[in-house]
Amino acid sequence: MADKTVEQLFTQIRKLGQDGLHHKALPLVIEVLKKNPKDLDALKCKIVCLLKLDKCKEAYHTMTTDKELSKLPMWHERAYCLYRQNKLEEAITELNNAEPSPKVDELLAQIYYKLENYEEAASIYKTLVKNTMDSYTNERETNLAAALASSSAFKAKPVKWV
Amino acid sequence: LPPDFQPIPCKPTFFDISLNHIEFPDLGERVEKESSGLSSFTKWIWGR
Repeated sequence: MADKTVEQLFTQIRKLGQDGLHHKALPLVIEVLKKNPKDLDALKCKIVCLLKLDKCKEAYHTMTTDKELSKLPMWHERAYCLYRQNKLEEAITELNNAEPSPKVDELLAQIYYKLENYEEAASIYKTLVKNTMDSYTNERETNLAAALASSSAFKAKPVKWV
Repeated sequence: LPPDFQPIPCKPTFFDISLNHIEFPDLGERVEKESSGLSSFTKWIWGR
């Protein structure tokens, strides 16, 4: 069988990504990187695949040691890796570099929740629930409820629900 | 005697929404271009 071209590989990679089949996409991404180890799109895809496959440590290692990748402002991805490894303060520091955006806020809320700062988490979720229209509305409302519930269950001074 | 059981609050459900925001970069420029002209005609002939 003839070698697939980079374009053919990326076509398949994009499709597999849309279908959430990152375990199938990763070998194709690695094939692209064999042809050109400096291909930035492929490198970014590799990080996404690793994160989706729960390999946060490996993703973080690649992002910080790869010559090309370490130059890129992948704050959100780096912070997410740190968050998953429970390095929460470091994750916040990393996010401070990022441009403010709903996805940054979303991760911040999760970090504050894990830090048991339910007040801060709830306040971010309230804004996000009001201003975001996507397919995760239910999950976001659940997280807001979780922050409020945890605050009243585990904290002396619960957050007020207004 | 062991002490009596006591109810404790359960841990609320909490979703990792952030992972959903992590996606491939835009690969529009890197994928195969839609073929046109003769090649799409031959593809049509061959039915693929």
